[in-house]
Amino acid sequence: QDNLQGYKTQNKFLNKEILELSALRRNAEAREREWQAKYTSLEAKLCQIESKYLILLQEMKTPVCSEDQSPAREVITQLLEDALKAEPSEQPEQAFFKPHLVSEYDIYGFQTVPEDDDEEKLVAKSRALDLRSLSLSENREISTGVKWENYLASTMNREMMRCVELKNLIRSGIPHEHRSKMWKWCVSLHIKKFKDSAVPGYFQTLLQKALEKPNPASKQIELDLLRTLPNNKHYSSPTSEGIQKLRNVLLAFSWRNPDIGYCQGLNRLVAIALLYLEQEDAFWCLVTIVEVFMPRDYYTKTLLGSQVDQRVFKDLLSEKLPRLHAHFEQYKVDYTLITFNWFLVVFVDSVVSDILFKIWDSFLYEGPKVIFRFALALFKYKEEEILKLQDSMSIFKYLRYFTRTILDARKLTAIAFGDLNPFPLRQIRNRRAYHLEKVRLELTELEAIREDFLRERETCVEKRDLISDDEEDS
Amino acid sequence: MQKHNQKEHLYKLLVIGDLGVGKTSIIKRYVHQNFSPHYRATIGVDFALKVLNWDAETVVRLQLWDIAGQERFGNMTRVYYREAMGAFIVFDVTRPATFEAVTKWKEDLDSKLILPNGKPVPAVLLANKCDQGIDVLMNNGIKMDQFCKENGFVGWFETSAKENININEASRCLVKHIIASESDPVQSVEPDIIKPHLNSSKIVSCSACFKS
Repeated sequence: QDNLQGYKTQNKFLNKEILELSALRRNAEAREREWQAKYTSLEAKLCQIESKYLILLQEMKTPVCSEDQSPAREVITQLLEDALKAEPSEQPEQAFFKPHLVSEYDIYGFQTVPEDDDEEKLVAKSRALDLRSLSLSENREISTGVKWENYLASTMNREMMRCVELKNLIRSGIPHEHRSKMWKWCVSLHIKKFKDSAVPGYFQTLLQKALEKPNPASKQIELDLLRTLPNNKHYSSPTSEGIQKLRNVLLAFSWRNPDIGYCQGLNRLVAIALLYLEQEDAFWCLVTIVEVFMPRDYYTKTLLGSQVDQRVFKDLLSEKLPRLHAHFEQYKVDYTLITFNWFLVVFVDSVVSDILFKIWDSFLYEGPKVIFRFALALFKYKEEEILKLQDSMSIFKYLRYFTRTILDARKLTAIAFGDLNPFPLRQIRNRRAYHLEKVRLELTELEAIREDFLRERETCVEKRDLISDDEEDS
Repeated sequence: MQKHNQKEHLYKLLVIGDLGVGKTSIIKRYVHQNFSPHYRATIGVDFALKVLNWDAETVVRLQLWDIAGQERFGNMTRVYYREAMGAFIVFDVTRPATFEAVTKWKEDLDSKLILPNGKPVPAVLLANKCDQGIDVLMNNGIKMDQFCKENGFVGWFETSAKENININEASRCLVKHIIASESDPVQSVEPDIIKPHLNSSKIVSCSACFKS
């Protein structure tokens, strides 16, 4: 009895102890979380300040008026050098899981601060810091991650199907760790018809053929390999793993589609695909983009489809962003010179990588309408800034790089898929049909002018030959 | 500030030629004074700005248009060429095929663009990558002079973007000819063909003549 009583008190005591300890632990945990949050927000703030500091330095580096060598200038130069040198030390293992953007490469293998351009360097570094601060101060990413886990768990035992839920999930961005699987699934979704009719080993056969005998495309492909994504570590040197795969996919495609052969720009599409897909899947991804998504003649010798789409885009811009349209008209800025590239290579090299891959997620699932959406969204995002510019030169200069200054993927996506609605595909189809005829006519006219010119020149040369002696005499 | 009586010219210059001959490298060297062996291949078109203090009273702003080298982008060139005042046509001395393409590029240029006075735009030929050892084409300058004369180039230069050879010189040559062609009194009969766009058209009219 005594023993029992003893055990009872002991038990009571221990229970109390446990309760107290867990209360203490909870407390400590709460405090730690609090500290962590504080630390994160401080780090974000630090990034912002550092970024602003860089911009300030940049401004001061090229003062408007002073040509004299004032001591202040030396100080600024020194500060600038220091700012570019000091890389916050990051743990490399961590960089793989979380985009720690101030480390040398991002998770996709792109340099965070490009090496080739001194002036760009500062801007890029400040951009990297801004991005970091953005990703630090917003933890909503996690909830997207959870949604994805839930969705994928629910589809574990059945085939994934197209549905609104999935579409919205993809629009919010596929997490890095699921992207390979999802891209592969998207490609197979669109390419099923083509792939089923292909003989087994189709890709290997094409590749074999391509490696055995060169075609006109192979030389151009070779010239472009190292000029594809030189700022990405997977494509930066002749021995990089990506280069060989890139060559193989492009060569195989040039044999599949001799009408196109090789068009500059395809290299970038493939290079991006290869970051998440195996060689053969990347090949089918290219086929999807070129032969399923894009209208005919997008990449062929005339680039007819591409030219048409730029006119369609102009129509859409004038409808959705009339003020901007009027502004461009006023200063005679042909922005399609810039946007042409966005469409041809689906924004590769035009936007920061986080945004690029999010665009590609939706693009591979939904198709080319996504390009129109984001092209308009980019303009809308910076509409006020563009409207402030008052001459064509500064507008062009701004258009050349402004897309890379946009960092908030969430905001951009909200514009692309929200503010710009309604966005009927039928409208795009109609405009395409309308402009196709016009561009075709123009191309024919142009060819006629060219022939006239050549004929005229021929006769001129003949005449000149006849009178050349006289000319020299006089 | 104190240079209020300076004249300013704005010229759009085209840089054209086959794929991989070094157009982008030449521009980067000229504008940013640096070089990298692997600039990304240009698709469509890219731009760069260079300001030249031409002489004590003249500032020349050059807008350089870096145009993709692959032939199929040539279908877009009419848009790119609009209002250009001069052109560099570039080839790679280590690849004879790129030299053979020079006449094709020149024809393309002349068929799509004429100055208001009815003449073709001044064009300078650049034999790039001249740092890369012996070259078959360049061994005798007389032949090149002949080629330029026959094909209507105002001059030619052996250049190297890598070693920074002759790029400034080539540009000065082209600008000199543009300024001269601007003061050419012969006017076109049809006023509505593509007109070069000038920032300060009131004062430029005879700058070269008066200089002597």
